[in-house]
Amino acid sequence: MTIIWRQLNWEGRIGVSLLAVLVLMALLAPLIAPGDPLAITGEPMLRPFASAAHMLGTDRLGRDVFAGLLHGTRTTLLVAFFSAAVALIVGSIVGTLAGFLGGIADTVLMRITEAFQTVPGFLLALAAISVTGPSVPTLIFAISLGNWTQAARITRAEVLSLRERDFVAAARTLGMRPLEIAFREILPNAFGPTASLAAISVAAAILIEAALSFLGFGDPNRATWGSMIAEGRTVLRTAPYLSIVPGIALVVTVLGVHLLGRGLSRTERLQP
Amino acid sequence: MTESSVALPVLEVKDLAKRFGDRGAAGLKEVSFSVSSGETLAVVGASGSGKTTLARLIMRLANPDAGSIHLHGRDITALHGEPLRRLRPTFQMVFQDPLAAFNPRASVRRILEDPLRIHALAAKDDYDTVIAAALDRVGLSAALMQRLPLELSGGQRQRIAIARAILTKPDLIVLDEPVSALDVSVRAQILNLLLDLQDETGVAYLFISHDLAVVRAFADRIVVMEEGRIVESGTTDQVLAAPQAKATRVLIEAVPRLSH
Amino acid sequence: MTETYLHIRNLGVNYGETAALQDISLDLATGGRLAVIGESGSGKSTLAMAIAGLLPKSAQPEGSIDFPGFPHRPRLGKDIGVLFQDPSGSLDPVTRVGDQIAEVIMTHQGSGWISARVRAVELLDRVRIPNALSRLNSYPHEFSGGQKQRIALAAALAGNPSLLIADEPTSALDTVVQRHIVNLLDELVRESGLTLLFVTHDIALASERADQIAVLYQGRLVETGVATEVLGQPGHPYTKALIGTHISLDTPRRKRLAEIDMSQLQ
Repeated sequence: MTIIWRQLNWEGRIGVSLLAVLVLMALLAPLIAPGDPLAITGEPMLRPFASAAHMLGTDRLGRDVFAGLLHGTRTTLLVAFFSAAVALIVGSIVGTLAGFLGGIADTVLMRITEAFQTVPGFLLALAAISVTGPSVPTLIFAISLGNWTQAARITRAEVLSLRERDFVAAARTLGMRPLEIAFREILPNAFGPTASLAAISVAAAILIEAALSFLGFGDPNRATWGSMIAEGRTVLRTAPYLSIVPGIALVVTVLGVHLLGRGLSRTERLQP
Repeated sequence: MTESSVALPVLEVKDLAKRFGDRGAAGLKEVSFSVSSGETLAVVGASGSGKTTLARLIMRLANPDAGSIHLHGRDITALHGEPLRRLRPTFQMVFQDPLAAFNPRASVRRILEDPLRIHALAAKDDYDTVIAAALDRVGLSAALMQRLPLELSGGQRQRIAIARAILTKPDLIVLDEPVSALDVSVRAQILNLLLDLQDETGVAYLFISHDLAVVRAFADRIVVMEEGRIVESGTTDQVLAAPQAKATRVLIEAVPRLSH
Repeated sequence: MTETYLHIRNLGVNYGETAALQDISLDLATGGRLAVIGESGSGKSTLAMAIAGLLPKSAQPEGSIDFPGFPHRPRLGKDIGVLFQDPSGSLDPVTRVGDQIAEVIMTHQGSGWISARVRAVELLDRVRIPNALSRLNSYPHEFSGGQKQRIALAAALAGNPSLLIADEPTSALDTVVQRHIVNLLDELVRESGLTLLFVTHDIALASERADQIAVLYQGRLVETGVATEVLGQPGHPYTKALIGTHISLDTPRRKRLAEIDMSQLQ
């Protein structure tokens, strides 16, 4: 841990700190704000800092904003990280197969990739959710639908150049099987540029999830920042804090991920 | 070596031809030669003479447009897939750039484990012993097992490349400019190692080079290539004493001379 | 121009705890040709870069490098030309070669664009690139390794420097091309009265072209002097070993080749 901290620049450190706070919020949510965050626990429309029991106030129905914030962190982080992970993994596998096999396999895989790329990620997610119904697993799947294509293209480009290198020829002369060469020799070396997509993918996933729940397509059984923002829309004039507080949380999270991504990309690669 | 395999050349190449991609009309043409067990045949020529293409064809990394390649009498010209994989242990290659020849993320141990694993040459429990013995054989300590090639010197890397090539006990090793990327002062060590291995095992070498001085010290016979064709061939002594082709004379003249 | 071009005293270069060079002192006469010989890791490139003023920021130099003939520190491009080992690395892949050479000329000679291009054609011709005029508009990747190195040489000489530093310029090339480049270098250096510093690991190559030889081993200067003396009567065991490992066309076949035995050195 300390090794990573020492190697990060100031951007990375701020990013890590912000994300650490968020992760803590997510982990400790049930301890700090026990009970169902969607339960009505107090007077509606309480202002922030007015009541000790409701530090950030309550919404139109009397639900605690602070509890919603904490529990919403769980949804956001869960969905965002997992969908980015799925997107990167699927994308790298597709890219590796396309780049390594070449020929018809490459053509077919790339046309499929392009088909997905022409539709904006948010619309793909929306379409998928309307079909499957919203829940955390389906959200993860739906959001990754729009995110995997970039990873596929970047991985494929890396694989195409790595394919010509001597160590790949050496693997062939040793008698390694093609799939083993693709996934054991080439992919780990092709992954670098794709990994730098991670920050962007996570950030995009966070925003898509928020947008989906804003529109009412999020998981109705969970507190999410998007739905909180949506709830606050109708009373934006009188109680702006209802939308602003979760909005700030979103900004902070995306900022944290972005800074961490920049910090990681700027650190010196660990020299053995 | 059994009696019958001594009679057949380890490698026999007949009328091999290959176009140089999109470089136009140029390409390998009518390349024929053979290498016997325990012998070193050098293929010399300047860059672009076709030596590297030849090496790739022989190692079945590319398909020739015409001609045949026989390994111990067996036609491997069109061989691919599983039958080719089963033959791989008998012919191996050492590449020019020792750093580029290894997966940048693989440790020495993993590099040497690959051939053992792919061809089931040893029981998993024995890997460490076999690998340590292979490292020892090429003059390296077993302590290097966990290191990455990046951390080692050029000479050490090339020794590992040789260790990897001999693990499968091949009958033929194609050496593609094995010392060209090394410091002049380190070359002798690697060449001596190769000579020792050949004395011990009777392996045949196809030695590709542009440096005639190295070839002079190392090879029994030479073929000189120019623009894809063989322009001269013979024993090393003959060819260097009385070069017939212009390409040969140019190569001889190009060798730096130590002048006092 | 004074007699001594370069005067180095007790030069050391450290990277953190590691000493890449220690206590190097040597002189280079104006118009002289010095070959710096050593293996990988001996510090020879560090020495060349220190003289050129191209050490990375993390390097901590000590000692002195003086240029008696210059009131100011010689400038790269104008006073010192550098030729690197990797021809692909020296040239900008997305700029035409003619423009790259012309840029050097315009920067250091203050010429206008047209006269710079005319001079660029002359230089390309000098380094024996055929059809120099039409090749002005070609990109580096359209040339072979040997040709790229010639172009890099032309660019290094474009500013009319008085010192040329060649850092292993032929190590990445085959012997035939190496021979051409070394001959060319020799010719150009003589014609222009340039002072030459040539870094190499090949003692034979150095012996052919140098008046003066400096031998580096693990960051230290173990021997230096007139080429014929250093090669004819090497003083230091390392120099003797280097000479001994040279494989020449006269080396008998199949006899065990001489290696450098590190245990016999200090």
